[in-house]
Amino acid sequence: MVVTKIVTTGEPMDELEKIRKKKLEELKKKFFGGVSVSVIEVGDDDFNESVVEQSKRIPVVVDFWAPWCMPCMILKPVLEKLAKEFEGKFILAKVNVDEARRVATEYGIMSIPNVKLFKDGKVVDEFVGALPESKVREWLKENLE
Amino acid sequence: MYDVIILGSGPAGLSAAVYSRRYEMKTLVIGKGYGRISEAHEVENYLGFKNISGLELSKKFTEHAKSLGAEIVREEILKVEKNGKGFVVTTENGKYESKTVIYALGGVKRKLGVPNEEKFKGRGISYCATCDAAFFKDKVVAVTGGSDSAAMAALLLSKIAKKVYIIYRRGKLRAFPSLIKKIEEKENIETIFNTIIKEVEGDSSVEKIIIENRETGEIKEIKVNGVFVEYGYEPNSYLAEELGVKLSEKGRIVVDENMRTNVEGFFAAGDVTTGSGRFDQVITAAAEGAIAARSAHDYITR
Repeated sequence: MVVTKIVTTGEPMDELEKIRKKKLEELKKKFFGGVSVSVIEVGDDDFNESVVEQSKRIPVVVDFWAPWCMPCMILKPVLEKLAKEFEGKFILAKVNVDEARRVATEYGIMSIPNVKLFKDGKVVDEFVGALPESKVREWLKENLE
Repeated sequence: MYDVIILGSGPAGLSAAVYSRRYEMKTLVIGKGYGRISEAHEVENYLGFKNISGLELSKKFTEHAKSLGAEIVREEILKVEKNGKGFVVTTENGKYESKTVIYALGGVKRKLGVPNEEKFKGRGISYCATCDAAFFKDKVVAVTGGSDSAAMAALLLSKIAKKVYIIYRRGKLRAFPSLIKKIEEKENIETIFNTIIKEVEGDSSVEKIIIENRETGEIKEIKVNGVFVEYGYEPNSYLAEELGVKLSEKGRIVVDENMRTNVEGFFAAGDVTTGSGRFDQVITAAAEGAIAARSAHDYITR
């Protein structure tokens, strides 16, 4: 039996990562005129298409929030920062529950901020409350890598 | 190297920031949010504002501190250490050095203390009535506690929910009389005194609570869809304790009238301290922040 030893130096991965990012940029330019699509706003009408269906292609992190919710304001910039950091690995979908009431009811939202990760059309993990940045990063890493 | 690092970005911390900048100190504020006041849906006793939401008031405080040149970073604080004469603050993203520290981290909300608490978090048990009241339209809810924030939560919920129970362990609410009066006028609020919540039960979300009368020992079951926990706050003082700062029996930071602690160059302000007769109001927090900033300035320039 021939055993091929794979030496990992980190460099080839960096190369791959670069190529992946470049490809992503190209695709973005082609389809969205260069506008970043890692963060989207979603309501009752487009939830199925933009979250459920889209999550069959790329994981979607849904942030259920409302303008009267202070902890939501704390979590918002954290999620937006991480969406940039993890660009291409997930899409952040923000759902204002004050407007998207049907979706909020459908997913049994009783406490916000409420963050759900959709993969393959289903909720695979979630958390409630404004976790600190390092905790959210850990949560994303565990779920995405 | 900052002249002062202020830990906490509620009223005490931001007032300290305003005064620190007026003393022309290089000022950094590290804090996650805007303090507990930002969760109050109405504030009616801060001078100059007859009625303002806690969130709006907090934003004004933040803008004020920023406009004077205070830097504000939103990071989780992990450790505070002595470094020669000064201090090093470690956060989730890095380290910051300063000559003085003003510790204004307020309190951490007390939990309900029932076995199923984690299971029902986000499924009927809530710690923020302002955030979550809207999800209980025409439902039945319970509020635990007898403080101002419990009373405010009950009043907010009474506008949305069908029925609100206040479950309180003592025989009389300790909220401001004006709030108690409003509660008594509400037909859909029922207060149950001398009683505690023993258990929360339900399938996928909260369906009922088991309550116990502390005087008679009588156990009762009430059907509710939500439980709003308003048991008050524990002083968020453990980072100071690790540094050797003296705490009171109840865990508050012991301060003198100048907001000094037993550690040189380390000051404290707001709900986390023993100051202002432990009144825990926005105005007392702001006052303590101002005094702490003056003391920090005195310490640097003496």
